[in-house]
Amino acid sequence: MEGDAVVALDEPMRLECGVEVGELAAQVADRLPPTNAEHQATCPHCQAALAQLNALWGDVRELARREVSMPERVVQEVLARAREERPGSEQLPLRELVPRLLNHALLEGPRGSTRIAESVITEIARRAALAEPGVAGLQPERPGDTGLSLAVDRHHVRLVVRLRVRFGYSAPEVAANVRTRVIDAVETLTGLHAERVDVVVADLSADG
Amino acid sequence: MVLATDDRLLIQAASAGDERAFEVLVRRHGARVYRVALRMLGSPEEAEEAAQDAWLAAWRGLPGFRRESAFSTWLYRIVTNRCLGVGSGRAEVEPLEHDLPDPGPRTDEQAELRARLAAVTRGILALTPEQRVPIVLRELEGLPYDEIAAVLDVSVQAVKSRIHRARASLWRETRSWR
Repeated sequence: MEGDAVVALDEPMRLECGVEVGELAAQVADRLPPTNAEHQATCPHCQAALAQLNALWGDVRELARREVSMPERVVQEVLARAREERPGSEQLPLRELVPRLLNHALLEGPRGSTRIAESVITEIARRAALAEPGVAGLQPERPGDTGLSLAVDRHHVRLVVRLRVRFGYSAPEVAANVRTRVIDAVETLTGLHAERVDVVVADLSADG
Repeated sequence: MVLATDDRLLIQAASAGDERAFEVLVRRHGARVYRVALRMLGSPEEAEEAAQDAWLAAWRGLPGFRRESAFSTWLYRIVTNRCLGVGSGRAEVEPLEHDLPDPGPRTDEQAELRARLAAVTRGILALTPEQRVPIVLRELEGLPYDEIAAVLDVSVQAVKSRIHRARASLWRETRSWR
């Protein structure tokens, strides 16, 4: 994942006559009435695009009608492996519970949008958490993990922070302070809304 | 869905470790999970793996399944997430046609249809994941916008605008050979 913020140009695709392709596609795909019937009737660009879109959606619908079934060997393999473990034996990681689609947060502005990579947000959150004196470090859940996971939906961010707390510090106090620091840092430095920060005190650090 | 009540009991039993209840769920909803994986990934081998992973994730996660979403919505979410995990560096996959049933003696017309459907699938694979998921759910699974919003956990408006852009991209991707 790239570690920088990129500015994306989200201009809609338009025909030479200025009509948005997405509008025409919606008309064909969702069988909607045309939004600009008079223009369409006489515009060669619209006519050409509509012909292509009608042909394309004929094929899309044909593909959707194709019968597909899951091969029996997949069913058997799933059942065999399920027998080896009980449900609930492993918590679904956060990424299974929330959509992983967007790996950028999105801020819409009147003259363009700003996307902020997830890695930027996690790095900000990581530094904010480590600044709290009672925190000895972040505690990855498994190798390769960072101890921080997040879900973004446009300008809303939810984070889970897994901590190693220094022995002698009050765990709930450290957790509350980390939450405040992370929310402040993320909101100030990215302009995003930190909707929720869950803190997991995952371990104690013996070095006090 | 008509079978919602049945599903609820099966889900309850399966969460408690009842493998037979789970098997019924897998058989009942298997096609949808595999189909989405196949459309998302293009290759049957990868789709089988993703479907298998998704079902195991569902088995492990069943006790945490929250009733406020439909079971199918939850499954769609798990399988699309699995596919996105496989999906880094997609696009170069050169798949398909082989997921179409053998038409027997081929006519030119059938051959042409197969080629066109293969091209549609290639067009879908060329979309960004952000666009591919909603377009597969909308155009191939036929889900309403609000259910897609529930799968992706975004607003209906966000789903509409992604699908809007995705359709335009699909048109651009497939226009050249038409």
